[in-house]
Formats: sequence, C-alpha cells, structure tokens
Amino acid sequence: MKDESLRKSLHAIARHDIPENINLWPRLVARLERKKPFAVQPKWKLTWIVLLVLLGLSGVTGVAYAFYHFFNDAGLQSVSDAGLISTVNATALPTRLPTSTPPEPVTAIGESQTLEGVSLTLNWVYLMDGQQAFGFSVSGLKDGKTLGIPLMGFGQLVPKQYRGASLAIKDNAQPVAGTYVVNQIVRDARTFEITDTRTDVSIDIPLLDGNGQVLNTFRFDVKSELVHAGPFTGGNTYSTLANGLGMSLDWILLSSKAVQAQLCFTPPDGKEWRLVSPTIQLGADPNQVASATPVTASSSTAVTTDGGVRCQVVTFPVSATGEQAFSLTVSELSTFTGEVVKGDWTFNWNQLPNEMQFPGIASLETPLGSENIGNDMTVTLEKAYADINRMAFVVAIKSPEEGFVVSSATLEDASGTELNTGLGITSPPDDPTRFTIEFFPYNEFVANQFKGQLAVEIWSQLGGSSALADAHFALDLPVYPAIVFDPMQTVSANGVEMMLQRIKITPSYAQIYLCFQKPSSTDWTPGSSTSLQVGADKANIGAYTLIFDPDIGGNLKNTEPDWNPPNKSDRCVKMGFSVGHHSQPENVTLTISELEQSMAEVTPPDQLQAARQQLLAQGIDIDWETSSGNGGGGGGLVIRQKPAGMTDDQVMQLFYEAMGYYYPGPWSFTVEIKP
Amino acid sequence: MDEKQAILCLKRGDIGGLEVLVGLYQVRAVRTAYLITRDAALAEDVAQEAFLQAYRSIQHFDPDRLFGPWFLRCVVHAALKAAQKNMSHEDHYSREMTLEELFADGASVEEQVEMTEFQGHVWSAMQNLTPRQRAVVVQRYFLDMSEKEMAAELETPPGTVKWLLHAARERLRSLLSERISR
Repeated sequence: MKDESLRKSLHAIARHDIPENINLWPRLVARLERKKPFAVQPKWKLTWIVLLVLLGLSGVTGVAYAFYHFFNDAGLQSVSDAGLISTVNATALPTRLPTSTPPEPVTAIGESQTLEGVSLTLNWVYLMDGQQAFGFSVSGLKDGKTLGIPLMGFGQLVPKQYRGASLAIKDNAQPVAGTYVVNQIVRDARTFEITDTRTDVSIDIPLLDGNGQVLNTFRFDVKSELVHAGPFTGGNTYSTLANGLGMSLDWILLSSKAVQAQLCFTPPDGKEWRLVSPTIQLGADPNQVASATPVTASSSTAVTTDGGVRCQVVTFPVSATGEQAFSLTVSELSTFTGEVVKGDWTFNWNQLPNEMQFPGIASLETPLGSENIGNDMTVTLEKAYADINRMAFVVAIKSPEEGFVVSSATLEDASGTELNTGLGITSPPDDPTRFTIEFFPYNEFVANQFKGQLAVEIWSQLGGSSALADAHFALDLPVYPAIVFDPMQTVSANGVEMMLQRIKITPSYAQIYLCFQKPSSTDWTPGSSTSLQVGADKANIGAYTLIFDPDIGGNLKNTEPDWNPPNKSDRCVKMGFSVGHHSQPENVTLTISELEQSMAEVTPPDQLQAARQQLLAQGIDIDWETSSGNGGGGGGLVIRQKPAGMTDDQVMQLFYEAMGYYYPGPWSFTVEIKP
Repeated sequence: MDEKQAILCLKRGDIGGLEVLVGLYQVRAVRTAYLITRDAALAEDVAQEAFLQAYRSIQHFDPDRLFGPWFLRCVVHAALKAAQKNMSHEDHYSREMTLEELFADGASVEEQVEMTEFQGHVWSAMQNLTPRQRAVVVQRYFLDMSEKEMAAELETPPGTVKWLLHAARERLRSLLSERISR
C-alpha cells in the first residue's frame, strides 16, 4: 500500500460519505439558543497559604501521597517548594450519573446432560458477529476424564475469518466451570445491515478419556439466537510470520493442571517439520507476562497434516488459574535429519475467557461491587496550581468500596465555557485513590486570576461505557505569568549551527524557541533526549511544535503571531519542558544530543538489512515481523538478542542510528536568567 | 466576511461570525471526525460540539492566528474521545458508487471501480484499527500533519507517534493484503 493511495482513499471515502452540502448551522443555532445552566454550587474558596502551613499540613493530615507526582515533576516540585501550590482540602459529594443503556445480557440456558457419568450444564450463550461464547458447569469428571475443544455451529451461516479459540476450565473448585470463546465472523450477509441476525446454534463438547480419546460428545441446540453487533475485540495474536514462515495458534485450553495449545504451520517443503521446545509465559496481566518464568512444553501429540498445513498440540505443565494473559513462543522448527528454521513465532494473548466480561454474567456469577457507587463517596481536591501554561490539581477519592478512578476531567471558565486543553492524569502506584490532574492549554491562560470550575469524572476501574459520577469544584486561582528572555545564543556542532532564540518560562514550565540549519531537507527535529536544566532541576522534552520551515511554506500556520524567525533559511521549533524558574538568578542549560529524522513511510528492505548487519557487530540481533490478530496485530522491530544490561530503548536508539535517523551533535547552551 | 473578520465579530458577541466559520470548516470537520468515529451522525455531533467549544473559547483565541488548524485539532481530540467511548459501536459499512462518481473524472471505468474497491478495503481495514491508531492515520494522511505536530497534539513523545503510525500502517498493510488477496 502506498501512502499516496491511502491519502487518496481517505479523501475519497470522506467525500463519498460526508456530502459537501452538509449544514450544521440550524442545529447549532438551536443549541446556542438553549442557555447553558451553570449548575455548580461553589463549595469552597481557595485560601492561599504559606509554605510552612503547607508542609505542616502535609505532615499531619497524611496527604503526603499527593506530593508523589508533584515531587517527580521538576516544575511542580519547584512551585511546591516556592509555596505556590495551595493545600485546599475541599470536598464534594459526587453526583451519580445516568449510565447508558446496558447491553443485552447473555442468553441463560440452564440445560443439562449426563454422559458416561459426567453431567454438564450449558449455562449461557452469547453471540457477537466477531466473537461467540458460552459458559457451562460440569461435575463427575473422574478417572482422567476431561473435556476437549468444543465446536460451535450456526445453522445455515458459515463462520468466516477464524481467529483462534480458547477454553478455560476452572477445575480447582466445585462445580467445575468453563468458558469457551471463539473469534470468527458469524454474519448473515443478506440481512445484517437491515435487521437483527438470528441463527440456530449447535454446541458440541467432546468428553475425553485419560488418553485423550473421545468417549462421547455433549450436544446442545439453541434456537434462533440473536447475533449482537459487538466490536472486534482482542489483542490476541492469531497468526505470525517469521523468516517467511507463517504459524497460527488455533486454540488454547487453560486449566489449573496444564495449558494445551494447537499450533499450525505450512512447512517450507514436504519434510516432517516439528516444533522445537515451545515455551509459554503466563501472567495475571499483560505487564507481568514478560517477567514470568518461561515454561517449556512437556509433551506434544503427533503432527497431523491437513491440506499441507501441519498442526501439533503441545502441553505445558503449568497452572493457568487466575492468569489473564500469556505469551507463547516457538523458537524453531526442525526435521529429524537436523535441519532447522529459526523463528521466533510469538503469540501474545491478553483476552482469555477467565476474566472476559460478557453482559449479564455478573448476575449469574460474581457481582461487580465496584460498579455500585455509594452515596458515602467523597471526592476531595487537595491541591491546586495555575500558570499561563499549566494547571495542576491533586484529587482524592474516599469510598468504603474500592475500584474507582478519575479517568477524565474538564476545566470551565466562569461563563461555563470548557477550556481547550491537553489533559494528563496520573496516580501514584502505592495510592490508587489519589490522582494528579494536569491541564495544558492550547492557548495560554491570559488572565491573572482564573475563576471557574474543575469537573472530574469517576469511572469504574473495570471501565464501562460511561462515567459513574462526577464531582465539581469551584476555582479561584492566581495565574502565574511567564517571563521571556531572548538570548539569541548560537552554537555549532558537526557542521550544524543552532540558535537558542527565546526562553519563555513560568514557575512550573519552560518553552524554548530554537532555530537550526537542517542537515538535509527532510524532517529533522531535536531528539527525544533533549533536556533543559534550570538551576538544579532538569526535565526532558515533553512537547514540540514546528513553527517555521522555509522548505514547507515558512511561518507555519501562523502559530506564533508575535514572533518572527531570526533567519528565514533556518527551521524553528518550540519545545516544552516541565521545569520552571525559581524566582532568582540562575542558569538555564539546554542540551540537544542529536537531531532526529521522521521514520520513512516505507522502510526499504536493503536499508533494514544493512542496519541489521551493523547492529549484529554490536551484539544485537533484530528482526522485522508482521502479525495478525483479532483486533490487534501489526508489525515492527523484534529484538532477538541484546547485550546484558542493555534496555530495549537503547536498542531502539542504536537501530535509529543505524538507519540514519539521527544526526549527532551535541549542541549545548547555557544562559543566565534573572526573573 | 473573511475568517479573521468572522473571529473578530464572534469575539464581540456577534453570532454571525460563527456562521461564517461553520460555513468554512463544517465539511472538513465532519469528514475528519467521521474517519475517526466511523459514524456519520456521531461525526456531526462531534463537529457541532467542536464549534460550540470554539464559540465558548473564542475570547482566548488570537485573531491573528489561523483558525483552521486550531479548530481541527479540537475536532480530532473530540472525535478520538467519542470513538473511545463508543467502542461498542460497530458500523456496517457498504460502499456503492454512484454513476456520477464513476464518471466524475477522467479515469477509466475499470480504474474507477478498482479504486472504489480499494477504498472499500481501506475503510474496512480502518475499522480494525484502534481509535488512537485511526486518529494518527487521519492526522497524517487526511490532515497532512507532520509526526512532530502529531506528537505535540497527542501529548505523546515523538517516538511513540512514530511507532503508533508505523504500527497503524503495518496493520493496514496487513489487513489490506488479506482482503485484496481474498
């Protein structure tokens, strides 16, 4: 796919589906005529207090956690040190919000069958057009008897685009419960755009003996089941390609005793290729998988061949109880004569049946307590700070129940107008009830005082389709101004001259205007390691705007009306750093280690190979993989080997260098500022 | 009334200024939102909200700046937010070509049909990107933003945008290969 084709296609699609004669104005006028109520009752007014009181309160009221993020941010730390942050402790009772119409629940079945002394009850069925699932319970599994991978049929509808299946059996409690999920398209092409699709469903669940042979099969038929138009979900890699050989993970069976997986591949020739020592890493969440100890398969079945595709079932002697993600890796294939094809073929799954949420399951199984927002919840605004480039707040949620998070927030001015800002929300890892909320305005706050309100949305930690509640706080904050210096200092390195033209700095944030000659006409920008030190505080680049480039039209989009480029043959950029001044004379040091070039739209294979060879000489082995999954997939750099102690980021840096995406400096400027 | 005059009017409280801006930017705004949300009605809502937000924020806007980039940035943000909140929505897209479109330019009918099929594949593939991936594709290829502008816009390190864009492109490439080879 060429990028130009993509560009043309997007424009054509937009033109096709959104006509030129669209007219939003009548509806906008109607909305403007409805006066927007300002429903918030100011519950408190900020009182500015001195540093000693702030520190004293922090010590005695236990709000020290709130400093966690502030003290990790040089800009906010310095404003805190300077007493510019207010400890306010204003509490609001959140307003419970109406939630959206709940999705239709699973279809409860409750039908039982007994075969060979084993009783199995089909509890529920749920069909989406991209994923189908059912849940069951079973008793009487003795003498090595177990269940095999089920098969779902859909009457006249033929499933398409199979993307793997998973069966989870919770066999460490009674009754044994199981959930089966298969990813594939079930859709009636004739009707799905005009009406609900309904289909008969058949479910076959094989009952196996201790040797894995089928003893009997449970069969359930469900009539006229609705196919919901659900989203394509996932993050499960179904197939992956390495060294030109594709492999798929067809199904996985998870239990407390073992994990079984069927892997299929198309061999490079007619020989008897087999998987060599596949490994699996399991974790309670995707982040834990990488650090989990790999478990090697203890056994595998004979390879079966179907139409040139070879499939092998492998068993890992590890419990999957409580695990929600895994990474399965096949490093190589081999023949009995010792021929080898190297991988890796890696399958990352983070949607396993154990913890998947199907609508209405909660009422059949465990209730989700955290979705019940109680009246005794309080939300407290503990701290606040504002300058022309940044506002920051610390908010704490107190509730007898756990599992609530602040996941969105807005700022409105006194007239109720929502400010156009960037938003960042963080929470200290050891205190999930506190949140630091930061706003970065697209246009600088112009007034000396900000009057308005902060609104925070409370969501369930588990997500959901809408916020559970919101809380509002009236604000009356001083807005600290920026101080502007124009040092016009120049530095040359590696044949490139740079000019530090302007420093615009508040107590918490600095903006640097930098102009430089580009090494070539491509998109060169200061690298991601670019840092700014003000006094003893230092921060890496956090924001970037291109403001002038002679090759692409000069003063770009007129983003800096009060600013003119010092030299119209140079590129000029504006960079943001979370570090501020300390209201005293001090040095400002800007360090740019290298210039960085945007990655090419298409990476030429020969350039990639040349980079790979260069990295091999440094003990780094990389590869380029593509994969497909049910909703995930993609491609990119794969690190096969790296020297001990080297991080992935360092490998990436070396890779960029090998690809020619870096132009080394360094350029370093030091300027004394006197606020 | 040009764009700058419209902004000045709006700053004075004359709603006629907003009408001019709506006339200038509504189509591009709705199209941008549509490519991210995949829902025409939702895209219109997003664009309306963005215009209302612009109306409320206009006192902070410098009339010497271009309105378009600032406004479309708001649209991308709002569309991304809407798309993320509407993850359960799945549109059922079908692409049919009108005769007028078919003969709209000088390309042969075969080329037109081929291009339309490709567009259908692109659109289907776009549905399988995450909202964030769709947003970067739209910013890059529909709004023609540079990676660095996107990084600033998404408040993301430039390297993240680079890889987000790369992953989105690779994902599209892979999906398109699958679809076209079928």
